[in-house]
Amino acid sequence: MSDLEQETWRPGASLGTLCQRARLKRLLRERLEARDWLEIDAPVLIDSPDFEPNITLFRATLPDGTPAGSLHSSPELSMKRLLCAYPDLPGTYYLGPVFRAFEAGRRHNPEFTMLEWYDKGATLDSAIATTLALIQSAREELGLTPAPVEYHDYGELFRRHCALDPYQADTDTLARAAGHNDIDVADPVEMTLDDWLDLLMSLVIEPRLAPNALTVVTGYPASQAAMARLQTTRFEGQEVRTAARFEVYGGGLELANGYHELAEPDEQARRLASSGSRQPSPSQQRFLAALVHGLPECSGVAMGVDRLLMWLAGAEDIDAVLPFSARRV
Amino acid sequence: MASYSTNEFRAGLKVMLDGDPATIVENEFVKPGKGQAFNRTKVKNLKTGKTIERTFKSGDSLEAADIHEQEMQYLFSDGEEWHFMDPESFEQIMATKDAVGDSDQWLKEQDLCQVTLFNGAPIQVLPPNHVELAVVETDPGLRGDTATGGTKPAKLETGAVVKVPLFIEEGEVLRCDTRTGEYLSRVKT
Repeated sequence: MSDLEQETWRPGASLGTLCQRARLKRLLRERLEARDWLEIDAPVLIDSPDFEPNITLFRATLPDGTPAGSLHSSPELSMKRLLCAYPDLPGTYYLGPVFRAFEAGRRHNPEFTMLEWYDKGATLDSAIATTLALIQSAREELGLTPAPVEYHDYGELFRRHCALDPYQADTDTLARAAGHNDIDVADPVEMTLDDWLDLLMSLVIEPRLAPNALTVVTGYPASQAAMARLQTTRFEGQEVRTAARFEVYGGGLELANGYHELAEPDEQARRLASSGSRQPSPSQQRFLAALVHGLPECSGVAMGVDRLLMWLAGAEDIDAVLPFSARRV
Repeated sequence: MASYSTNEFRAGLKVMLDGDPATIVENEFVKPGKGQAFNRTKVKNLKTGKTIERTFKSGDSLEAADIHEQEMQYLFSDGEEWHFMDPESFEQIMATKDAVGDSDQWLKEQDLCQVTLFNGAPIQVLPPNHVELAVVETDPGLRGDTATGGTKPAKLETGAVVKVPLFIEEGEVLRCDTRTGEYLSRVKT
């Protein structure tokens, strides 16, 4: 293989970057420990698909071919069950690997390091503040000045960069906007509304976010709520249903994603069913049972640690912040 | 025919796109954490040479194109058909003007060319990077003028016209680069 000729036995990251990586992980732990949050070891080997339809899990099999579960793509269900069981915990976090099949590219590695936390009692605004404070302290730790912060609304970004209302637009309008931006989609009839929105967000809006700033985006449409609560907000004088969800970008690079968590078991079961799951798996049933018992009001945030380091170190490729990315294992 | 899923896309992969054989020049994986994944590609049509951009939903697939490249010896042409031979199997094939294109002006009998075959038929012919060809037509040489740096056109035996130094005479053999169309040096005969 020609890859082997390129000395792929060597790490992708420089020694300096690996030292920054270790410092970053130590700092994140220190900051969360200072809040008396409990670090938990969520099981990596789980039984079932997640709730999210856009993620493919790695399947585990026994030597005789018997299915033996999947590698988790997020520790979310385990962590929420823990909060349901021990509601006195002020917060809990996981810092470790998650796995998403086929996600490989300049900004993706199929195995990556996730920092995920649940903050009891936190509103979406305080989850945003916690996320930004953590990122700014990471900058300080690595000798960088605090980054300016911009706040944008999902609707306003689409109005400004795509000249449309993302809450009302139909697929034809979204397809035309893609065409105006020289995006030629191979099979447009297979594209759903959310596919078009994701496409425009990734290829038109993200590259136009302020290059050296942190950008907080809120106001995601209700169809992109996943496990977030829904709320009613206003856009251009109209009431719209949006998700209590935010994303933080560092210069156009997606770093973190947070929700004001949905606690209502019936609504959660309904979303689970509509996401294509036939029969909830045992771990999903246990999760739903935990919600019936009661999830304390909380916000949850997932942060890509490799992405954060990419942004801090100015790396163009995720391979440059990992000891051995999938291209080298 | 085999097909390639987006997660197998990489530069150099030969695929069928819009009915024509094409090669993937660039492939970028794009995905919002919670959203749909896409592959943004640059694809070169091997028949027209045109490169276009095309975005695929990840998980889509493209049919593989039966493309391979082979060194073949140029035999002769009657102006409408160009004949080549596989130097190992001695099998002969015929290429049309569409496949040969501008390479025609550099093709000399016996030279080894790079032929791209699609379903066994040539769709592109590239001459050797360097060829040695005789001058058949140029203005009389200015003997001894090797210093002024002036140039003049010279027509070569295969039809190509190159800029040459003023001292070059008809009948001389020149070494040329077919990629740039430039004269490199005289060849001592």
